Amino acid sequence: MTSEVIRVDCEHCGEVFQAAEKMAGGITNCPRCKKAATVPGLRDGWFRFVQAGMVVGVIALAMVGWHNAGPAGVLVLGGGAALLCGLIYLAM
Amino acid sequence: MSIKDNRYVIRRKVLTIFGQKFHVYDGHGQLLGYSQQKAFKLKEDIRFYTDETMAEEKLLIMARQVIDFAAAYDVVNGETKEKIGACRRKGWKSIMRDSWEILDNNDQPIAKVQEDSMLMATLRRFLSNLIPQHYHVTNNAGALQADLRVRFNPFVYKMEVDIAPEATVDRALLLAVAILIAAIEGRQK
Repeated sequence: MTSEVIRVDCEHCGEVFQAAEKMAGGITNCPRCKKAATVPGLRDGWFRFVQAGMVVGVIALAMVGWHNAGPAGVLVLGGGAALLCGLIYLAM
Repeated sequence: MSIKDNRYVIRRKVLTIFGQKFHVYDGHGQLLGYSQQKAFKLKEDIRFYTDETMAEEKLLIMARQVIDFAAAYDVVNGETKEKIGACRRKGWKSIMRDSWEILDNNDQPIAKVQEDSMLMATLRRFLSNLIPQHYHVTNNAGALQADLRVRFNPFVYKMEVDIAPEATVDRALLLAVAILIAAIEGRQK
């Protein structure tokens, strides 16, 4: 069950208010100080698809690594892919 | 941010390594500001400064989504830190003819941006950069708000922005939309 509103903490005045779920990942004006506040979350259907692909890719590479070089292969290929995905996530 | 002129020129810097950079000139050829697209960000982050020192931020344009296909971009006044509106790309419609919506603070459409005609849009998709892009910005009543025209130049990307004197949409928002389109649509060529 998805929530229709998202809790927003204004980074300027500390006011806590609600924003529509469609604003997830965006910016909305705080009702108290009228300054732009970031709405947490990410409403991005396409990127969810990419995320799923990244998970599948990491698992696939880990399996390839295991098949070719055992645990070392899993560490190198699977670990490397997971690290890259983590860096991409942090860059968001 | 005060935007009084009716005409602006957005010029993309030729040699850039990370992220696109634009200079914005007013109708008299004076530098109005400098815009830079932040590199290594999955979500588009475009800032408009007074000049290249980037000491004073005038506008901030931030994407809500990672994938550009049908993304919405929020526009914030850098001085007052107040959101002045948003712009949303119509993904499926833009496949044939670039279409954007300009939204107010409550995400309600107040204007639309569209390529000049379906015929020209189709020709551009086949002939690439040979036919420069041309957009009309109209409000909900159909009144022209601004005209965005890319000039033919195989070396330097230049967009001329002509804002209608009686435009009802916030001029800073219109300029932000022009910079955004120059960054997004210009990159896709």
